[in-house]
Amino acid sequence: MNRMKKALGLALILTLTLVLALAPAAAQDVPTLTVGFAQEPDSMNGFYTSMAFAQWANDLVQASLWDIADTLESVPVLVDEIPSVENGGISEDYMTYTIKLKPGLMWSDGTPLTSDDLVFTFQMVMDPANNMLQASSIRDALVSVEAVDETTFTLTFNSPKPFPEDMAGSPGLSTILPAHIFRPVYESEGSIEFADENQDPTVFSGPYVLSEWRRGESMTFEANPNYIVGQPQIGRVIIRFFPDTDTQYAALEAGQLDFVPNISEGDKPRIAGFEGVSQLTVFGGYIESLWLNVRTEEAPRAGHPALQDLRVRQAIRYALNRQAISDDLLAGTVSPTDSIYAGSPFEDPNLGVTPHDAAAAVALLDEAGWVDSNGDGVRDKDGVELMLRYSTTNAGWRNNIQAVVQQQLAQVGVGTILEAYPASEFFGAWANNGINAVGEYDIAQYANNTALTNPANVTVYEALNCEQIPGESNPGGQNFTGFCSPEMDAFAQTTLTSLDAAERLDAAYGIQAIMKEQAPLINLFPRGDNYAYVTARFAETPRVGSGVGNQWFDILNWQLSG
Amino acid sequence: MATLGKSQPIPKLNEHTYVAGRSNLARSLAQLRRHRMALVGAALVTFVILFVVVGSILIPEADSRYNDPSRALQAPSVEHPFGTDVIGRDILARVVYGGQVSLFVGVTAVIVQILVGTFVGVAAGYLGGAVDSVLMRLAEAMLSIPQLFLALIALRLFSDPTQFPDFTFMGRQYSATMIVIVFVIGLTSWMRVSRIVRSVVLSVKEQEYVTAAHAIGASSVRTVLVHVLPNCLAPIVVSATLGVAAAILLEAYLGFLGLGVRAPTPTWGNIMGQANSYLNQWYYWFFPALFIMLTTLGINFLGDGLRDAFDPKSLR
Amino acid sequence: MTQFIFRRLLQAIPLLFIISFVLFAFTNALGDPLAVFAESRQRPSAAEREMLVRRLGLDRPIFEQYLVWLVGNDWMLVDVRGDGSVMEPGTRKGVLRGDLGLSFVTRKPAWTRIEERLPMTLTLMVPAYIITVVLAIGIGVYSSIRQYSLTDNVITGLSFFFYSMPIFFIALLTIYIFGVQFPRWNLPGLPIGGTGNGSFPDLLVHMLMPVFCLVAIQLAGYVRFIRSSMLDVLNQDYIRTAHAKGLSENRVVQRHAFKNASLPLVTLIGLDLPFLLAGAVVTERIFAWPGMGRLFIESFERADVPVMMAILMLLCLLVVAFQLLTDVVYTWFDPRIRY
Repeated sequence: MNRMKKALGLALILTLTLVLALAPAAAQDVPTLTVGFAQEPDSMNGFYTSMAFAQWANDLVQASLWDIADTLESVPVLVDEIPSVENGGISEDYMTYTIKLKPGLMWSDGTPLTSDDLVFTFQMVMDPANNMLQASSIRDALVSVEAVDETTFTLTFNSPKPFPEDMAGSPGLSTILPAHIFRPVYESEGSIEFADENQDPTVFSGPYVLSEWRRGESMTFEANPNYIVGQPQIGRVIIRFFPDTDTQYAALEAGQLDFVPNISEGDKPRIAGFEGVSQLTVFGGYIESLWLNVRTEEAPRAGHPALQDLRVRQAIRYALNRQAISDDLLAGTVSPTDSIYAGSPFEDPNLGVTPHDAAAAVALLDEAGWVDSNGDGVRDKDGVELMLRYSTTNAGWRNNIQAVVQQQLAQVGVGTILEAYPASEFFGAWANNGINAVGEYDIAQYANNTALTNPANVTVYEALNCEQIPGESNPGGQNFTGFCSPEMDAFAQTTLTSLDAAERLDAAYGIQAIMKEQAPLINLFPRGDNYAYVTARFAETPRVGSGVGNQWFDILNWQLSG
Repeated sequence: MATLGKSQPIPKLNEHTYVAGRSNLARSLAQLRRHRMALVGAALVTFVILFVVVGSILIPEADSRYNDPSRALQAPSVEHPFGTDVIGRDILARVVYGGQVSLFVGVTAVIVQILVGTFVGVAAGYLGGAVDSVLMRLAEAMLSIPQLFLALIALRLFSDPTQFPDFTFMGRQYSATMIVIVFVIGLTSWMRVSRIVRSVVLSVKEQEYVTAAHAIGASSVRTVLVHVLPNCLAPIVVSATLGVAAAILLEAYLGFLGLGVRAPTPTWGNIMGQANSYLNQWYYWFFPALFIMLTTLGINFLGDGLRDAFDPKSLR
Repeated sequence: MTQFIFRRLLQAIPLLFIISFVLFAFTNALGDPLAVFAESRQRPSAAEREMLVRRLGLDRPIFEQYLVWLVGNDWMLVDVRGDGSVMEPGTRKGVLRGDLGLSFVTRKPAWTRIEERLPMTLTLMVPAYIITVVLAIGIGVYSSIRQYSLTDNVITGLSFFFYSMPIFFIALLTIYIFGVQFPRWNLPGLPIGGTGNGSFPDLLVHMLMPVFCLVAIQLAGYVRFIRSSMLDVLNQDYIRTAHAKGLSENRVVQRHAFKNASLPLVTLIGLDLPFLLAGAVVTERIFAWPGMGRLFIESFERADVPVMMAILMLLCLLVVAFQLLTDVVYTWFDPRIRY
């Protein structure tokens, strides 16, 4: 028996040594950038995914007509000039766009990329049989699309479209479908929803081609020789999937990953401790907020009655020490704000921010009649305890903030019950009893994205709109707070439709003033798009685009050192 | 580890078993004492229980919840012997109160498991026929899906705070997931116990004295209580001790996957789930890990010793 | 024998139907498969959502959804707009005709997703299982013939030490030591996560850490099992007879004891094998291993019912099959058992 065991042990050690000796010393012929993704893309057709990681993988291989830079300005890609009224690309009434592609564009297989591809793409967008997850904003607005010549086409809308940059941010227009691949599928099956090309793409328009996709493991991208806009200096990009962020960070710390996008705010302090790793943050458009339920209708649940009182909402804001949350939990990387436009060019510089002032909170609560009459530490009024249901998703960093906020509120006598839900329940639809949709909360913590390339802010015109309050008759409503201010809705309408930039900006300032006064939601902090990279791997700090647009917009200029 | 099917050797009631109960027990205890590992196990378990009980007398419960982000992630000091966590809570207090919950979950989950398992086993073995095959098919069905998969699905379904809100018990607030998890673990792990009990019931049923008991008019319930249960005791106790450790670990796994006992209730498992991300801050994970280990180690040693002790065949 | 197999198969069919319905009802109640997009930059609009829901049939009663899952809907019309204006023929064939449905996430057959993951799961699980069982036999047999010796106690203690640790913790610590700290100490660091560049040696290197972790936590259970079945046998009369006949210790252990003690082991292995396919949820997640356990969790998180159901039903089928097989094999080994 003993002999057998010894032999076995020896064999094991031998195998290990052999394996270690044989391990190839990462032979890299081409400069290779290794990127870590927390999720695997679910589709390589931008029209069929809402996943940020899928969008990011797509952006490597699919070029847009134009991109949005880190400064939120538009930069041309497949066109020489972004259409505007001045250059004649947009008609005076903003209803017709004439877009001219660069001459000589090609798909990665050498087929010319012409206006025919764009016309086909918009036809696909307009056909409901394609069942696209994206592009509804374009579909609802688009009347027709026509090719003028090989490189020119026109789009006609049913209402003024003052923001050409909108067409770059949304995957609805940043994806161009290769007509020579999809048309046969469309013609034989009547829909491109199940086309193989969506999952296993073969033809690309961007700086890279997807050369290998090992499911659950990695994607390998090689430079696209037929991309005439320019050739990237990094010849190969490998995206590896790490479902566990701790492992991903270990790989980053060990230098096995070069670049990691989507670092959560709560992880920034940790990564700051990694030797040789740098972080950078670009405007993300997310603002982590406490959304207060001011719904009155009991169907199915109204918010806590105290929240109806403006003084209580303001008191909650005074009671929060947002600076401490930023300093102690988020490595001081963010600053509190009361503006839903924070960090964008449309933020009102004179708005100011509510300070932490527990005394003011106490005074306001007392004034509103909420006092602790039974001595249990929680304020009450007419027999109702000021006990608020405070819910969020089950992301760890959010639950930490919950605990801290709970304690800050307790100091002024506002009690909270903490709840955490999986995202699929928290954000679920009305029909699925989604927590936000049916109002099963008093305070909800999450971030609504505000893709701020212009003052039209989806948080305002959708998530706080009077007509979007969900209910039996309006199950699809998106205003989960139940807040209603006709004055603000009028401003929101102006930001959406006014053709005068100054007027739009004024309206945005008006919205910010109302939001600060009425406090339907309390902004905790603006969330940027955070990236981490191994400092020594890059010749210079890479310029990363905002997630609002394309994070790789400048990848042609990225350079690895050595 | 999978459970043995019907082909598992049925414990034979050989000549050793006919030794009178009392001396059998005495001998088991003697064997147990001889088994040093079991003693070590018992000592470990006692230590953990003392730690949790004495700790909760010395440290107020509010300390386990009080956070102060400005003192986040401090290494052990006189003030905070186990250091502080990511939002500046005292880890010692959390390990004490988390330990209470972990132990509670482990023990009650096993009680649920034993109760259901015994009930099903007795019903199947004693009634036989259709009841037997339905119950055993049910056990088979549940065994054919990994417990973690079952537990994940069940937890997601039954841990909605809207339907199962937090509750307050003796002045302390608890997450309802704590109770839900007890039932989820208990109801997804009774199958093994039911099979053991069933096989014992079957072999006891064959014994003459049961037939005799019937003949003198003893009721079925009485027969079960008097003859069957005592004979099941040994395998059940062994399975139960090991089950407590397994339940504590399962809770930790579920917590790691984001579905364990939720805040505000700490458990060793969910403290570790958080601490995972902070490998550099050793004190954050070391103490909860140490206590999970001490407990499962202690319970496993004890269970192992009990197995040797109750099984007369392993006497040499 | 044939009759026995036939009877067991017959019993299995209603069982599978019941399991599948219960699981279907449960998995369907897991949440809104479309809600994961809520915080993304480009949310599908309410109208798009509604249409998607209708096409996926998520608005129908659960029994109807189950029937469609079972027998398909290519014989009926789907009301896509909800007002009868557009009626499309269904496209699903149903599980009974081999169509496991389309993944909600990728819109590819659920089976394709399983096919992608199965080989890698087995690559990880089978070697880990073999190493575990082989080591466990060695250790278990040794500690059974040297019961309560110092070595027995140390081995038992050590195997229990790993058995008592949550695997996510062992795994992260392993990664931290071998992946992060080793290069800092100028030792060859191990690659973190994934399966390597596709070459065989690289695959082996990537397997080191996950296999180590899997073996570490599983070992104790098997060691205990083998030890106790060995102890059972060693106390039997025929072993005493063998000893009395003057046979050497080794011979007794190898020829007589181990052979008999391996019977329950065979059963155990038979019942464990199908679960190797399920992969290891936590290990695969931490080591970024593209296996089935991770696929299940990913599908679970996005409420991708068809993929979850496909995995669960595949497991059920295999477990039923292996149970049957184990029983058959068992009768071969042990002629005393007859059905």
